[in-house]
Amino acid sequence: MDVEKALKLLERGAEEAEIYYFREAARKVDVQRWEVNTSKEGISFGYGIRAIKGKRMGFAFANVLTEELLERALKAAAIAEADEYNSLPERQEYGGESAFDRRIVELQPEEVVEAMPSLLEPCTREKVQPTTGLVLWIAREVGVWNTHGLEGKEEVTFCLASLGTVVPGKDVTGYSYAAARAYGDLDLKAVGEEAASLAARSVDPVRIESMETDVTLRPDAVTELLENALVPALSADNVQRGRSLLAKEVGKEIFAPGLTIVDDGALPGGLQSGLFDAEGVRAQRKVLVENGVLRGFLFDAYTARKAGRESTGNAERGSHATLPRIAPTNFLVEGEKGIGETFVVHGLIGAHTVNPITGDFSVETKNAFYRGKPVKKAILAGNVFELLRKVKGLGEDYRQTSAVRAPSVEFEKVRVVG
Amino acid sequence: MLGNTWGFASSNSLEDALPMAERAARAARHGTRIPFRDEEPVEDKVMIRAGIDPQGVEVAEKKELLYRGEEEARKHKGVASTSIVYLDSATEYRYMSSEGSRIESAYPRVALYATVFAKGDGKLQMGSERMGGTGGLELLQRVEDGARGATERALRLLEAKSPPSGAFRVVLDPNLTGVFIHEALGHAVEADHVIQGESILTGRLGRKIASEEVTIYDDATLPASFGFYFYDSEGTRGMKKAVIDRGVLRTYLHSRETASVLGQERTGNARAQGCNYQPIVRMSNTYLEPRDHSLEELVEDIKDGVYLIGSRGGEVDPGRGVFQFSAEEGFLIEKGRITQSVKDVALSGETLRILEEIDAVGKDFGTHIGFCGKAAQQVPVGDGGPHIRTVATVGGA
Repeated sequence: MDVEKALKLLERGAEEAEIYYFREAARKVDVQRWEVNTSKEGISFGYGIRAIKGKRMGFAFANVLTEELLERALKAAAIAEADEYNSLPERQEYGGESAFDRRIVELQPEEVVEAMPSLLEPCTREKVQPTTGLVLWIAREVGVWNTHGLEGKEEVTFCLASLGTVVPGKDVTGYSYAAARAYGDLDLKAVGEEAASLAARSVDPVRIESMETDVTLRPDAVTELLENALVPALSADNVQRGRSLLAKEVGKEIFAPGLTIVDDGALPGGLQSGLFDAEGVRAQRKVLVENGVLRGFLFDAYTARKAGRESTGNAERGSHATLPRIAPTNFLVEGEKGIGETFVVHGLIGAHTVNPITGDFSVETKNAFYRGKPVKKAILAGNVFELLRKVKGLGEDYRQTSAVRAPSVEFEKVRVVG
Repeated sequence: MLGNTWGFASSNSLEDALPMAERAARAARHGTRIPFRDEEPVEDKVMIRAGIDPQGVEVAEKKELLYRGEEEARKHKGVASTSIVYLDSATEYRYMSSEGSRIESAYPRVALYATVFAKGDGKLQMGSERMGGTGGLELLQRVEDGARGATERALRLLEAKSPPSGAFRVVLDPNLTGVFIHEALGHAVEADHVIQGESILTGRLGRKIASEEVTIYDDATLPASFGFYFYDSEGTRGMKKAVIDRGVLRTYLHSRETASVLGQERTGNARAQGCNYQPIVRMSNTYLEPRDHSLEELVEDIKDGVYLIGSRGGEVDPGRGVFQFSAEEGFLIEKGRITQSVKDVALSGETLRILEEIDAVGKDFGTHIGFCGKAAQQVPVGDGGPHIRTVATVGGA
């Protein structure tokens, strides 16, 4: 059945309805130690249907668009709770260009296998051993149609590379990861070099005493901390449910005056950029924190309606099989430049265990260096809302491997437990 | 497999089976050669029947179950928001191989997560509980207990102080013992990590790596558990095996590939999230065997320590042998007694040190459900054990 016919059928049984289409073709080449281990590819696709009747919303998904699927969505709506804020976005215009690289669609594993030496070669030079690595490239098609005449369709591409390393007999590891929208922008050599040099520089670590010290988080560590501890507090859903400590702070100076945070779904070349979000709302830029002052939150259609405003285009779905939920797009961390190198942390272990409500964290570090010397183990402890008041400065080394696009950030007086 | 090299391709449509097979064969042209052993083909058809099959229960009745939980939480003053999530699944697997294996298996699973948010004095806290397993709604009948537990914890945390930081003697509850066993040890015995050279346990089979109090199983046969299966995703029978027996490392966890590469016995630990994923080495249910101490006995010798309860998750760097995990809640232990409530207690440590420092193991036992993530695949697992006592670094927030 085509989409048009399905929408007509849905209109008979529901006041509003939406069809979301998702198709992903992913290919991957894996390396294990010094060799290519295997290559893989997979295709997955399907349709997710949302139907609203009497303000009750139902959802169903399948990999083919059939009457049976539409009926399941309608049946699910019939038994859902009514909620006056359930509704789908109006028809809208989209601008800009999709992040699409024809080369990723056509790229074959053989070509990537040929390129693998540039990922692994730095390990030979640094005398470290690769453990696992991969290059993954994805072409995705998404489509959103609803009964208000909204219609969005685009093709986008991604690729990423990662490498883990170890120094044999030394129990130290290194890791690096990069992502891009075009294969030509994926720098395998840079990933290999960082993974190799981090492991090599971490050999013979020293134990440290517990202390309070200025700490510089490298971009990966900044990303892990903010995604887990700060982003949940900026979701309008958490705000409306009384689960965000920032709920009543709009207009107040909550962070260091030099710090600005912007979410921009339309950022050219941004890793999470698209023409529209998972409900078909136009991608857009919104300032969340301006010079330390909280300006607003991330909204989807539901929370926007509840708040009596427009969606910010922050609905996200992992695939056709999930309902939209609020998520950042390109989450840009800006501020005054200038960082020190007293205690430098490249990655975190257990960042997903931070308390998403209170912002309290207590996480182990990966590849930490105190005054240039590698550290055996160290916990960083504190509260993310307090930490962001103590920003000393930002670096120039911007990186984006997920939503957060951040440079190194130095914080004043952080508790380190040795 | 072509010339003893794997290729993998997948689609969620059976119509693509032939082109996918061609792509897999093409992929197999540039992989590592594996000294792959032949196995006897298996023909079997097995299934778990739910006590109360969720497929036969109306959604309205399932909603009632959730409301029972919510109502219980709302009885308490200070509750700001609740979230009760219910999941059921009926999964059918069909495994066919050119060796002649034909296996069909089917499992019903249920899970329920209760999260309660409490507010007081400008502070916000949360508590959560989860329950479920392989089976049906009979596993969720104690929904009120779960909701009450989550609520009382959230309310206690509003009053809790920040914990001390540094090296302490600690007592872990069964939930955290499970997380510790899973994170700190389980991932390091996955044979793919061993082969890749990113496990501190490489070359330690048959050696003592933990105190004699410690016996640890990976057990796909544990009835009603979340990590239960008859066969893994390569057609190898799921089994119970002692990974550590009285402190001695007895086996790694294997897929057919890793068992062949290391010349060891298969353990039935190759699991795939679904047909779009390649099977990789995963745990099933991982737990520490109980011994003979009561909680009081574990605590009474501790002058200054921390008792940790409930898990917010953990992570490990297996090549470095360093792990971290966060408890939901803690209590100080002072002069042999459990006293003040503390919040946001995280532990970190070196796997081998902590296993060696386990000096007393409790006689109680509990398992918990979870989804374990590895290489972008999530599979249901169980983990657990009794209360245990060891030494770790506590990081206060």
